[in-house]
Amino acid sequence: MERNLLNMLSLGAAACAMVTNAFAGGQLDDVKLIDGASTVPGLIDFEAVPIAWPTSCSTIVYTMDDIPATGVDVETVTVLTIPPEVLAEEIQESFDSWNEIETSFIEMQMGDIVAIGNGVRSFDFINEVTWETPAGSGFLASSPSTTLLADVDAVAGDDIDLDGDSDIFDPAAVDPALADTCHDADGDGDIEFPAGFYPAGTIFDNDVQFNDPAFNGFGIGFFWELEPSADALPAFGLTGADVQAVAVHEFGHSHGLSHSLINQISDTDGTGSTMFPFIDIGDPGAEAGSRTLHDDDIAWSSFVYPEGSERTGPAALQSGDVAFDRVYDVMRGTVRTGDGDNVLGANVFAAERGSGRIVGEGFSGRALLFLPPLDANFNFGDRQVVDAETNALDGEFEIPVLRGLYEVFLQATDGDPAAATSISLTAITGDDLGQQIFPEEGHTLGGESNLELRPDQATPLFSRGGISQRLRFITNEESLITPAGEIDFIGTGTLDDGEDTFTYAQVFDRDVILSQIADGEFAVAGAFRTGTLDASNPVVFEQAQLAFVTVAEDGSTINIESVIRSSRDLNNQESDLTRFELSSPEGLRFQLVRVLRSNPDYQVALLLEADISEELRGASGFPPAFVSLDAIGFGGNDPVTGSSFQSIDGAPFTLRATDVWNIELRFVNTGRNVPRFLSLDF
Amino acid sequence: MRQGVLKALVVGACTFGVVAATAGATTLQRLGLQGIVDNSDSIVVGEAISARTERTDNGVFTYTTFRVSDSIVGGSSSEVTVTTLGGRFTSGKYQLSENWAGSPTFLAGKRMVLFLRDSAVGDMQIVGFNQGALPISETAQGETVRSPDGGVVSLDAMKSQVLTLRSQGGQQVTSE
Repeated sequence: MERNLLNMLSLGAAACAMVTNAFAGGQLDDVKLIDGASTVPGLIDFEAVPIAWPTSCSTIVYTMDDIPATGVDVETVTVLTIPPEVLAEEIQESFDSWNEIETSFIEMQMGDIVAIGNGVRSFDFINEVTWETPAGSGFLASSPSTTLLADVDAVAGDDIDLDGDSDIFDPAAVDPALADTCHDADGDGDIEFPAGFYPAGTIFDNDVQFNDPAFNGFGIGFFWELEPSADALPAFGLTGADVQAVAVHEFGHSHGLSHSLINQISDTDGTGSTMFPFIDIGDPGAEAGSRTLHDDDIAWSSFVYPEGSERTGPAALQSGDVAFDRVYDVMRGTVRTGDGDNVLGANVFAAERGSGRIVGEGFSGRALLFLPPLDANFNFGDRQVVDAETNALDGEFEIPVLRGLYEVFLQATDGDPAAATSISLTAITGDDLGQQIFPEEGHTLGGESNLELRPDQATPLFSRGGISQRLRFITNEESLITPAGEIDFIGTGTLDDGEDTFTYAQVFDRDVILSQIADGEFAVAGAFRTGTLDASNPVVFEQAQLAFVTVAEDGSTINIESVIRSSRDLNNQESDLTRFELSSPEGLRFQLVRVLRSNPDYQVALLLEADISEELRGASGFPPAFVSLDAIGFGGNDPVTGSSFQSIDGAPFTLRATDVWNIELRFVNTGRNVPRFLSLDF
Repeated sequence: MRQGVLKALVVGACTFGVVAATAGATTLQRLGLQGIVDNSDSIVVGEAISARTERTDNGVFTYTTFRVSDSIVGGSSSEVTVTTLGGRFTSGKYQLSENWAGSPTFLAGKRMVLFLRDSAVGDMQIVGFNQGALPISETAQGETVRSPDGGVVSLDAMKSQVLTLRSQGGQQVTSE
């Protein structure tokens, strides 16, 4: 058995805390120039800042490029041309998903449909929606924004996009009703902004472009459709992509929102937030889920553009509005390592007490970055990332949530279910510092440390009140043993009709466990890398167990001798680790040592039971309860097999001869003295 | 709605010879390692050594040059320049950024596994927008990479896995 110890980071150095307003979380970020500062020779200091439209442009008017989209009638296998007028209606509906939020003052409106004739979109103060994309584009859709990198006093007459036309107007020279509002002040088709101060992070222009086979060929693998469906032409490698599902997501970016990590809302709802970075266009349930804003999407749009935050203007309450402060609270706190380092890009999320429904999240930290001068052809000098003390200005996070009772959890932005590159510059910086390698845990009042034996425990918190403003996470440090390396497959293998229960079993070498315990390690959790082929189906497992087992002499099967720990309360996860927390880890190590010593043929196994009955199977034909596999002949390191087993409907366990499950047994070493009884030479 | 004949367009598309990614800038269809490998023309390990940004009529592009330390699949050059969307630029007194959510960011000195494809216009692009750029981390266990399929693997294991997938082709979804 391969012993794979995951030692958590220790970058040393005390935290460098600069208290400012944290704004890390559900917003896209870019950088703000810090005048005159150069921590790294040859490079300039920048701070990551969120991006947003100014209040003067709280109604964003888009121009629809007069270009159709390409659809396919799968029944007749013919191409359909979806006219821009139809597309404009779809886009307006996606706008309305955001516009109807009572607590957010941002508005998006579809303007004219015109033949813009500017080729591929560019920075031109026209907020463009187009189905024209550059050759070679491989994306479904994209939403580039042009933002300010430094605070600026914009003066009437400034030509920012260098088209020979002013982009800033004098408020005194226009209709007083429009003096504080971005609009086409000179009637030339693009938008001008009122003169005044604009901070770094201000969005001046946004375009949304949808990739289309008309420009990039059907080799891009999809066509457009107007309703969520499973329509596809497998022979052509084509799947229908719902315009609105993609559009609602893209226009979330358009007003500054970043991606989220919410890919499964609860054990009963397998859809995610609209701003989750991936969409399964072959799953109509997932597409419908993307069309519908989730609590977190609504909360962040409202947090960035809060209704009732001003007495006059667009942020002031008007008929039908609800003040953000009236229904929302903002939970706040910090994420640090055991060494006191601020953590950049850790994901903190709130789950409703009782239902477990995830309602909101944020990302930690404020990053300092060192970048080359603008407009320079440059050679990179020193590293842009130095260390946590230098790059992480703070580890603060904010989570806007509807007023209520929650448990708050922390997870690494580690690629499961989405990587830092999909989130923000801040998260990327944290990842580059090597910070995104800590295990998931709950927030416990008075119990936070880097050596928690029950990291799953979370203290219920009212979102309103002082405690919810001072959450202090300390990332936990765990080691693990697993026979598996990479993930080659997910699945159960072939299932037959009428089969109802599938049990995954992973045997761990008794000698490795005894050695771990003798070294002072506490077994704290089993962890199963789990997922589903049907994105909208919630991943659900029935129960997990830790058991003593015996392995048949020929290694072909195992027999369960006794169950040590058992739980039906699992944090079922899609594309991530489902954890099975082991109760009373203090006593567990004595129990393990005592029984293993008394029974030299006993091994220890983790078991995970799934309901695979046909009514739970998704469109793929498989149940939403997969554990991934590392297989011989695939990937880089062939695993040592002989330790993974499975059982269907209570039949004897059978050996997985050519692969092993991605199942881990996790440990925490508190550094306490190890009782003599637990030592190997007792 | 106007109708046309799909067959003709499909034949046209096939002349590109690419089973392209259905990945998006911000709305992504997850490719997985198999999909990323399948869509790559070359796969290299490289370190970013220089970059430049260019503003054009079609938007802002950043060209990052990597020193290639290992060509896993294709590509024998010692350097490769990768085009990514967006970048920072100045316009008079205004300092601006064209911000593409999820566009890859390359840090100086950072080694990456790069899955690259030749675009229709002749430059090298990251497969799957950002999914084909995997940062290499130096850990107590040696050089590691986050797999697009989840989990962390050694760089050597990733290279071997890529070669295996390259030779096998086809989709891995369920076992057996």
